[in-house]
Amino acid sequence: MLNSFNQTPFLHGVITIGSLILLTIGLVGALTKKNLFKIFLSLAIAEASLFIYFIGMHFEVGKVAPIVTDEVTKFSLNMVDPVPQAMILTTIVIAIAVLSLALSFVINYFKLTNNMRVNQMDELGEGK
Amino acid sequence: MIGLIVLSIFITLIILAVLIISNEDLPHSVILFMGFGLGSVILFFLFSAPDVALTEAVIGTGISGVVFLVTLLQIRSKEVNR
Amino acid sequence: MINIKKDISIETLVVSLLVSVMTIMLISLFLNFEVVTSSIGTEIIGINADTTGSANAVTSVVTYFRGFDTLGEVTILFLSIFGIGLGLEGYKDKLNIFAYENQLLKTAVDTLFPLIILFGFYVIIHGHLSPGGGFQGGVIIASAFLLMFLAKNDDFALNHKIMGLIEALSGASFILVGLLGLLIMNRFFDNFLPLGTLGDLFSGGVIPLIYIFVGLKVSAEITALVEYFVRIKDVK
Repeated sequence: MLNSFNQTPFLHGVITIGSLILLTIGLVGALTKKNLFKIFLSLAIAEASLFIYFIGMHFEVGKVAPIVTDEVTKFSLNMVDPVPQAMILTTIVIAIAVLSLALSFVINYFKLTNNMRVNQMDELGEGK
Repeated sequence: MIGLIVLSIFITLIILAVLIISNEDLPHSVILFMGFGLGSVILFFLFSAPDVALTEAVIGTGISGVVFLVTLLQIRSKEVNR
Repeated sequence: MINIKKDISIETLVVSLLVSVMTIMLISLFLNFEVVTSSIGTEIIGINADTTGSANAVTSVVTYFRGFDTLGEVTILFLSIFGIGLGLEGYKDKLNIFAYENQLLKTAVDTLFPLIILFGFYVIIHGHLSPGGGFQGGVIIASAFLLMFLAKNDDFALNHKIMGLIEALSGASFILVGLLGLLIMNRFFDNFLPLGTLGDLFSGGVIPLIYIFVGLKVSAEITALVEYFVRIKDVK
């Protein structure tokens, strides 16, 4: 019975459901919270869930990393696809750069208006 | 064996994510976010992606955590949901 | 813990309901797909040992087969650090925001700082032999500088002339390597150095050279990012 947990379709199903639940939690946090800092934290959770989904769906049970070492001496078809890993590597660095740029704007906004709650940001004329 | 480990780590990550967005103490949320990064590093390692695991380990815990914490030191606000 | 007794607004409930309905529909849609084994990945694994000389397939995809994406990513990193430098008011008359005196950390950091930088350079240079590369090693070097900021609060200041010079020269050299590939072999980022045997340090053609320049540039930029965020307290 334990062997049925090691098949690839079960793993893909778990990854799909789990990372989409994490995406839901991140989106709900970004849409309903009123503190600006909490919104960025939820967006970071949503980004991480998509990285896990992308890498996980290209994985099949029994395959190894695409690196030649002393044990795995040749490139064979038993290796994971290297192209999605290269894309996610670039994306992680870009995500942190954009997030830190956004947080520098948050710091500047707080220094100007001393306000962190999205309800009360009415410089453009809207709001209660 | 690997299916059960991945399932248990996903359950931990989901519980951590719910605690992060519902916690009212903001530095506590940032520390939990660094734990979330550690969980995703373990998942990347289990999916045979060591380069991505290294990158997420140094960026998700080191740089991202420090940037969030320093922003909090500048903001010094408490979260009130109303 | 989670405070269950607080009142939840109608807006929160409606948004949560809509997002969960969307997620359930997405789950049922994605569970019907099979993962398409893409042909480009298997092709790359087949030709990797002969075309490049690197033992790490992810490194050869990032630098050689898709080197243009790395150029775009370095550009985005540069632009965002530039934007942070314009937004935050600069580091000239600001103090360090971590204001704790820790004797244990001050003693330990004199030994740890060169070791961490050495490890960062090791990870950068061995990018084509083991997991690692320019991005990972560059961020490791930047975290060594973060440790120095934590330990020696206001006694540590970066030399911005040297950092600016390193960043500019390594970025220009990265593009110069690509242009040399264009001139000699008629393709941007092509290989014009001899490939060694698989597994040696001096193998892989132009790949370790590209990763060294990318690693130096990323380390200089993330160190500047850390400094902009740490030296942020006003002088009272």
